[in-house]
Amino acid sequence: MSAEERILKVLEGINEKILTYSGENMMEDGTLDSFELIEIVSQLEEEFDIEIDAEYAVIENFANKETIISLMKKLLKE
Amino acid sequence: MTINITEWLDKTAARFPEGLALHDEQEELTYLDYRKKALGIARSIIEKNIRHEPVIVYLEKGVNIPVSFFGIAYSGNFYSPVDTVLPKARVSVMLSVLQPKLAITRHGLSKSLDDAGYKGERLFIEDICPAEDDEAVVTSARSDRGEISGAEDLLYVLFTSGSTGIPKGVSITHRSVINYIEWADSVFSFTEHDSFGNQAPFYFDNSILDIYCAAKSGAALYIIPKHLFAQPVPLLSYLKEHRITTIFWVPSALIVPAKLHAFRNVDLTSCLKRVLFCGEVMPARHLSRWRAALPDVCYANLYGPTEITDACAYYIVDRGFADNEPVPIGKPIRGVEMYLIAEEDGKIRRVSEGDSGEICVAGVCLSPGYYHNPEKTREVFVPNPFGPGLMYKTGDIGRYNVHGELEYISRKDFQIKHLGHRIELGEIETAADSVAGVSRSCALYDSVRHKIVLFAETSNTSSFIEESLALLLPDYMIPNKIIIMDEVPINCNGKIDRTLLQEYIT
Repeated sequence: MSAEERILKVLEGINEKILTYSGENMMEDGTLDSFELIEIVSQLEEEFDIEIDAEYAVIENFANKETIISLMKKLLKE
Repeated sequence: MTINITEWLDKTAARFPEGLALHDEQEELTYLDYRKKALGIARSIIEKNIRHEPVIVYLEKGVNIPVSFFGIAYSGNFYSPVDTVLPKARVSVMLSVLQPKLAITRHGLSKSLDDAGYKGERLFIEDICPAEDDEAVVTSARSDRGEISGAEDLLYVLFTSGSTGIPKGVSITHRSVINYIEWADSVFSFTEHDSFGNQAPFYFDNSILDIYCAAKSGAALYIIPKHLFAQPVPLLSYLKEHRITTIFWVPSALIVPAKLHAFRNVDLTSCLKRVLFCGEVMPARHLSRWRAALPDVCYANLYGPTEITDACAYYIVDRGFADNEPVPIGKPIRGVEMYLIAEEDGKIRRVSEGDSGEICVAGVCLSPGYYHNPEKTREVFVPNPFGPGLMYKTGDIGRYNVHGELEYISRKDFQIKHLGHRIELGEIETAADSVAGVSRSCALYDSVRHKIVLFAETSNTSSFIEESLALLLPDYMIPNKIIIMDEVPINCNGKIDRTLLQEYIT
């Protein structure tokens, strides 16, 4: 399974609406709440065995599934 | 003795006229401006000859809401804030309960009020001029009001979820708020050097501590932009930048920075002095993270439903807790009695020491009841068998721990706390049952994942149900997950088998 597929699987497990969300800010739209944000961070940390610093928990990085994937790609490269 | 909350603003504006009073993303007001604007609102209301009436405040969150609250109080009326993002159907129900003759709003929101069926007069916040001859306005308003400016008059009506689908308007008097704020001030010793970082929406009663403790002490009230609460580092940076000394948040808001270890990124040791929380259970493990990062801060757990003026019990954290230990709700605040009761054959008795029982509250904090709803009022505000007056049956189960501190255990019915909001699951079910094609539904709470789950017996799709519910319920009541079933399981009594469904989600 590719990294992207693994990320999508984590997101689907937490809130399947994330996968079909086509807007620009799912936190502001109410698709994603703060508990789910925490869950996403924790589960991605576990899935990829990395630590995601709190500074990355900003709306721009969790605006939709594409921004989450691109954040993770950046963190996995580091 | 204070008999009207406006006296605090009078005194503070005289003591600290140039002190910062209110701050939001667009605007800042000094105490002098705060009072003048409030008096301008009062004058406009008085000119309409409206008294003893509910005035709704229909504005987006910002400095103009507390200003309107004070303006309405100066005018001898009482306020009821209505969230501008609520579905029209829900606003309409609230309006039918309140029957308001006046709304404070802005031009851009006026059509939404029309759409919700509002027919009363409107005051547009943009058109109201601050009252320059303020003393005359106050003097004339107060002498005109005569006896109605007393402490027993209503200050506000706030709506809470109702199990039958109709939200209940909880009325609260000046007297109850004065008792609560004077108690909070005596315990936490707020001064003009403090700054409050407000999280609670102004239609939620946690905000009254922020608004009125600030106005009484001369502290500044910073209205924190909502979007920051999901971004822990910018949130803590905001607190640091504005030198916030006091926060009174729901635990849901405190959990995010704790869980993501945001304290590593922002050091708040030089500014934050008090962290108060209320509105839902504070998990001990997250409290421990706050305490480890900021050990010199005063942490306090407050407890109470809207019906008893925000909080009637408190516990100042004085020790560490294991992750699975409950953080106590402590002891009653000044002027409040609390009892743990059991009911058998219609008789109420206090439970034995160490046993659990329903938490009942009596004293100055009690609401006079639900606005224009004597039936619901009689159900939960009952004659106090242990003292004078009435007591309020909270529906919460509690017990005293070995330290003699009260602990919250659970609800005795289907009320939940979700993201700090009090929700009757029955209200979600009533809304779901009203959706075309739904023959039966059951709403449950997954407290581990913090999700509302709705089971619906229908041939419709979950997205259709969700879209329909969005027209009836506030955002925070929309189920996070909707499970469509051919048949909802029924138990031997012919009722929906909630136990089986609860097992299914956990």
